[in-house]
Amino acid sequence: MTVAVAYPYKKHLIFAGVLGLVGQATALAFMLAPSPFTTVGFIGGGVMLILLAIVVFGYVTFQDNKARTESVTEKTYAPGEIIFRRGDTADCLYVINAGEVEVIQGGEGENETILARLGEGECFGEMALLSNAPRNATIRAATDLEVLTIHRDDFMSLHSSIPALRQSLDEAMERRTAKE
Amino acid sequence: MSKKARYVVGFGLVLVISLAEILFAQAEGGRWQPTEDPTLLWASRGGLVLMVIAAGLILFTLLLRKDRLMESASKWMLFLGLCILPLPVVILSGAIGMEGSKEVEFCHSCHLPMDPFVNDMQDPASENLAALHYKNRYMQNAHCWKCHSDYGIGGTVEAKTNGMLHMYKYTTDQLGIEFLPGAGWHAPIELYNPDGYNWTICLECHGDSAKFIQVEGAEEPGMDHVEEGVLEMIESGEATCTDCHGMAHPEREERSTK
Repeated sequence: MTVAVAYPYKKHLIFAGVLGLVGQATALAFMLAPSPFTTVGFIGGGVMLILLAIVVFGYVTFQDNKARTESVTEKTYAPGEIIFRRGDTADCLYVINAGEVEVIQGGEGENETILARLGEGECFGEMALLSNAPRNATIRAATDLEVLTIHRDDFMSLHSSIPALRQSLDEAMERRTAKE
Repeated sequence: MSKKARYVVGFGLVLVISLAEILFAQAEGGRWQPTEDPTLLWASRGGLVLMVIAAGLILFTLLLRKDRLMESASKWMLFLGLCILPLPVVILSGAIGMEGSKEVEFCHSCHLPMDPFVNDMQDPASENLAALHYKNRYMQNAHCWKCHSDYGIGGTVEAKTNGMLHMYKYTTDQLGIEFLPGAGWHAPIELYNPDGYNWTICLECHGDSAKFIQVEGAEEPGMDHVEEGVLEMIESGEATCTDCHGMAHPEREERSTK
């Protein structure tokens, strides 16, 4: 089962940043003007705030990494099994771990046209996700197939936050559109 | 450069210039100022630079990369600004602040009832031992600290722990908080050491001086404290320095007049 995970941690990071800034400002005040007041501020507040900022940052990083790991699930298909059909609602991206798939245009059977075969390391299903449209082709397992699925929410989050991934997918989309 | 970026850069420059003016300000008033301890000077400069870099990284990430906060690069910048750079900042500022907390002004800001002692020490006409050390600059700084905390790291920890306890008692007393353990204080204040002052602290500076041990050929030969057994008496508590050298601070009846 695919686990949909959102990333609601931006506020936590901003909170950690503010804590860190105030903590460092207190440390600076103690360094420049040591007094009983700044001593209490530094020891009682500044150091605690910085430690808390580190804890919050660590928590966010841990949760984020955990969520990203959990959002990826593994699925297997037998040869000939349909993974999705043209017109289906797009809910996830697929990455081929092992095996091959056929990209089919038109009806299945005699009228079908096989547009392409995709193999290990390649992905499919991203075009419908990025264009927010139904699937524009049918995908069928050509061999024993093992895929990793990434839920739409997590894919969109990764797509918006990782420029390298964004660029790579945009290039892949351009290539496929050009072929069609 | 975007409007936000200009704001951040402008704010950073103002911060750096303001702090630099405080840190690198030249002494005014025409009086000679001793050269600042280079270790502390560079520690404070380093601490300031690290603090500015850390704050800059945090502000840059939060303000200019807020839409890409979950990106790996943003997290690395926050990791540096929040987790790595603050550690040397805290250590350096703690060490520098701790040095500053040894100054007379720091001690006196809480020990207000000791006005007569501080005033007498800073009185050029006084001949008490503390005043002699102060006006002749036998000690350059931290005059209260050097005589009233035992030497060595253990002494520093003990003195600062007691200082924090004093602040706790003073604050809870001022706020009228009585339910906390050890809150508040009541007169009379008593010395920690019921046997009195630990005179071996004086020996940390004087114990190996030419005057104290009367080396051969000394310009001003005095009593040889070692030969005469004074060292042994001080160490055993049989004698104190003030037995022969006068009071360290004004006598009780003199204090109110100072």
